[in-house]
Formats: sequence, C-alpha cells, structure tokens
Amino acid sequence: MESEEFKRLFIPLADKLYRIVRRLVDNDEEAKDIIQDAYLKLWEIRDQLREIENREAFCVRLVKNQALDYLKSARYKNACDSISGDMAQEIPQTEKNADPLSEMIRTENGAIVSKLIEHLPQQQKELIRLRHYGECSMEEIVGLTGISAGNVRTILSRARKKIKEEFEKIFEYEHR
Amino acid sequence: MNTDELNRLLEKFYDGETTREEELKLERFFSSEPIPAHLQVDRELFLSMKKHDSQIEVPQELSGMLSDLIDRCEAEDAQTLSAPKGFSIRFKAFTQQFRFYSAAASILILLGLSLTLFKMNDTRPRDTFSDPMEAYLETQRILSYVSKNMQAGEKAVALYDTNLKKVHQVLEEKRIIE
Repeated sequence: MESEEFKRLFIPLADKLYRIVRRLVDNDEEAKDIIQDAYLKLWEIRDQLREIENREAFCVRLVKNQALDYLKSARYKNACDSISGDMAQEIPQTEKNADPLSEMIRTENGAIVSKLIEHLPQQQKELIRLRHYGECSMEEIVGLTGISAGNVRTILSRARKKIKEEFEKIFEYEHR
Repeated sequence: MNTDELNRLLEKFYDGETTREEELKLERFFSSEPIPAHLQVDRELFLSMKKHDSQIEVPQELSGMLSDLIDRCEAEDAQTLSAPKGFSIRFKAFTQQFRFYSAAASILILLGLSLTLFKMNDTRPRDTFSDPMEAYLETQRILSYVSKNMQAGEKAVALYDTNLKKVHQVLEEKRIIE
C-alpha cells in the first residue's frame, strides 16, 4: 500500500480515533502520542490492512488497546501522582445549545465524578473508564483486559456503588 | 419508562449487570423525562459519568501531523530499500552467523548461571579441618567452654536455692510462733 492510499483510507478516521483515546486518557498530549503510535503500527502492517474487512473497527480496537496500555503504564501512574488529579479536575468545555445553568451543574458534577473515579483502585478505575468513557461493550472489555465477564461485572458493581456513595455525600452537602 | 422498570434497571446498573443498550436506555430516560426527586442523585451521577464528544476538541494539527509522519516513514523505508545489494547479502550472512553465536552464547551463560546458583544453594555441611588432631582439639575447646558456662550457671542456681531455703525457714518459724 502506497502512502497516498494509506492516507486516503486512514487519515479521515483520525478525529474519531482521537476522541476515543482522549475520553479514555484525559490528557491531550498523551492522546496525541497514542494516536501517532497507532498510525505507526498501522503503517508497519499496511500490506495486511487490505484484507481487513472493517478497517474502522480494527483501528478502534487498536487505539483502545494502546490507551489501555497507557493507563496501565508507570508513566500514567507517575502523571497521576505528580499532578494529583489536576487532569481529572480539568473542566470540560460546555456543550453548545444547552440550557447554560443545567450545563454548568453537569460540568461541575462531571469534574467531581472524574475526581472520584481517579481515586478508585487501579482495576476499578480502568474498567469504569473503559465502560463509561470508552463506551466499550462487555466483550470488548474482556478482550482488552483479559478479565472474565463475571469479574468485570463484580468490579464495575463495586466501583459504581463506591462512586455513588461518595457522590451522594457531596451532592447532599451541596443541596442542604 | 415506568417506575418498576427504572428501578430494576438502576439496580442492575449498580450490580454491574446492565448491557450497553440498557445503559443507553437509562441515559435517554435521565436526559429527557422529569424524574422523581429521590432519583436526582442517580440522574446526576449517571449523566456525569459520560463524556460527550462535543466536550473533546480534536487538535487541528492532528491530520497534518499524521500525514507528515507517514511521509517520514515512507522516506525511511525508501532509504533502507535502496541500500546496495552486496551490503544486504553480507548483512544477511552476518545476521545468520550472529544468530548462531548468540544461541551458543546464551547456552553458555545459562549453564554458567545454573552451576553458580546450584553451588550457592548447596547447604550441605563441609569439612573445616583436614587434620584430625586439630579437629579433636577444637572440639575439646568448645566442650570445655560449654561446661565452664554451665558451672557458672549452677553456682548461681545454688545461691538462689540457699536464699530460698532461708526465706522458707523464717516463714515456717513465724507460723509456729503464731
């Protein structure tokens, strides 16, 4: 596959792939790096890519894998420790065409919930990110993490209950 | 969605049992319909756990950056391919030889390591004296040291014993007087 064909087929997917990675890793620079690495990998196997039926699904899987590797890496743990949740606190941009007040509340709650997720144990944090931010199906999570479906459910349940418990305290305090 | 179904889905959600479809159903419900007050927390939590695409801004330079990356890779590939043929054959022969030697070296290293480790783990007692007379003298020395210490211990115990007897005697006398 020549570079022109490669670019024509894969560059248009970049925005979508970036969004997927960015949802999972919460950091612009890391997301960019992950995408670049993914494109390098794609380029290396470019001759086999013709045989792949669903290129987009293949790329999505590839970047999710790379993002998960990053979340498991020492680099990510160091980033979490040194910035101590600054990234998690980062307030996302508000959605357009929505009621500004409810949007502001949502944004604020979003930041609180991100922070609560950051404080979960490593495995719970990973699965919550994959499920809620990465919108991964159960099969995908099992494939990506190698954890059995039963265990994924247990870990997700524990994490969700924990987040709810903590969130409830904050929410009730704010609405007293 | 009626209350029963909502409660059932929420329970499933916190038990980690919901499918993606069911979670989407909850999401649609929470973002559209007015909900009872006691579910306010669940609603806020549920909607806050999602990241919307519109919250993520794709860097403008991304496509250009990736395009440059591919160009660079292609240029590098072209360079490796255009290397002189003689070189590539020699290189191949070298790598084959290298493979053989590296395999041989690994086996040697493994052998060496296993021998060293085996020796390190060997805890069998070893003879420390070659001359039997010397060994006999050393044993005697150790035994006399032990006996000397034991004698000292015996003396202390004897002293304690006499003291105890005295106390006992006094107590006995006192009892008789009373």
